[in-house]
Amino acid sequence: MNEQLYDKIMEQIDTDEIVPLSRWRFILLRVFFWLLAVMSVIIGSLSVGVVFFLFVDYNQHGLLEVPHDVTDFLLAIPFIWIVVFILFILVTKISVKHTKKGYKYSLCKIIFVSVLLSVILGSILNLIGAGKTTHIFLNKNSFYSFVTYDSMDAWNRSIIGRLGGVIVSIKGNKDFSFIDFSGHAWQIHLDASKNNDSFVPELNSTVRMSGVFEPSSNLFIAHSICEWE
Amino acid sequence: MQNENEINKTDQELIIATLHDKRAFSEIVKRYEAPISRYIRRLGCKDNDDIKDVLQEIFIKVFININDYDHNLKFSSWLYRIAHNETISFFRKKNTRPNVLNLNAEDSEIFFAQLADEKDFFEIAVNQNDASVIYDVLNQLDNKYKEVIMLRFLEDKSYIEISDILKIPEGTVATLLNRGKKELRVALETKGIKNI
Repeated sequence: MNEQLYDKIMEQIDTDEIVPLSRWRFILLRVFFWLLAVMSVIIGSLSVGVVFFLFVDYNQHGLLEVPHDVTDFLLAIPFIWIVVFILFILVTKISVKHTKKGYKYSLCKIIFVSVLLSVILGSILNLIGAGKTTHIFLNKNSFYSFVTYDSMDAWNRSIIGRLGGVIVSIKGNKDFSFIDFSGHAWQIHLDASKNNDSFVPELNSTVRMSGVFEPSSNLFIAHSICEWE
Repeated sequence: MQNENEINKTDQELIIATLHDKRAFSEIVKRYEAPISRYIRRLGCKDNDDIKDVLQEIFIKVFININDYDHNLKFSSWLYRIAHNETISFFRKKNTRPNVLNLNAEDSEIFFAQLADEKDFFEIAVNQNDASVIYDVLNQLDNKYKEVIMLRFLEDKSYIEISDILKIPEGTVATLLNRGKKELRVALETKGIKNI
């Protein structure tokens, strides 16, 4: 029976001209999966970097200090980046599992290490400004800007008392003309009863304000004002 | 003379020899034909012609992918992995994956002996009368438990080997074996086989 099977196998190998697949093919396949795993970790890290940037940005631009509702806060959560992060963690998992020894590691271990690496690398990328650069670069894309929070948009909502833009002319310490981020012109009056004494308006400086606007005119009464960081 | 030399060669040496001379592959076939054939049958392939076809496919696949073999791995583990995948794929093609293991009297004897050797498992009398019971009980188990239990107790594979064959972490092998044994214990007890 042994001979028969061997004969059949050798006959098939000869007839079909079967030859072993090249070693390079397998090496390249493994390299491909390793590269995919590394790339996934990098993209996952970048998404964490942008998430960190957006959270810092949200806080830095005083959005936690001014009145805001739950919807406002929810809109600021960078869901798209969280989805991208989860997606690339899954790609990392699949690629690692396809490497030579990848099956030896449990799913939890792979996910834990990927998340940890992404968070560490993401923090570094955010520190060197990669999160901000990516956000600004992609923000030029209409779809991205549609699904992502932007601090300028958040301060371009006069209807709920937030206004950001550039001072274009000054009329004393309490009044100045102002162009907001969407290009509308405003007259600004600093409310003397509020704590605005320390602020001195400077020409061409970018500022953000919270206050109330007069619906009948383009006058905005600022309760608080500070420089745009 | 050449054949005698090949018999004395290790699996690894035979693989290297195959890359230079395909005739060396015959010794691999001879060495593993019987155990792999048994493994295919135990996985549920009953028809002898089917077993032969699957066996041939397995060895052809081994020959084609011989450069993919990782020499840090036991050759038999790699071969069993291919055999496992090819057999499952054969069932899938025929759309008739059996939910039963195909065990004979000899298998049952081995199985009882192996179970009795397990320190953490209760001892079971090695009794031919129990062969049909163990057969029924094994086939009631979930496929994932059945596969590891079969590799551990019938094929006598270590945890590392099972991990390499099924491409799952060693911890998962241990978990599946423990859960499988628990289910097996409960099922055996309901059939009247209890601790002695």
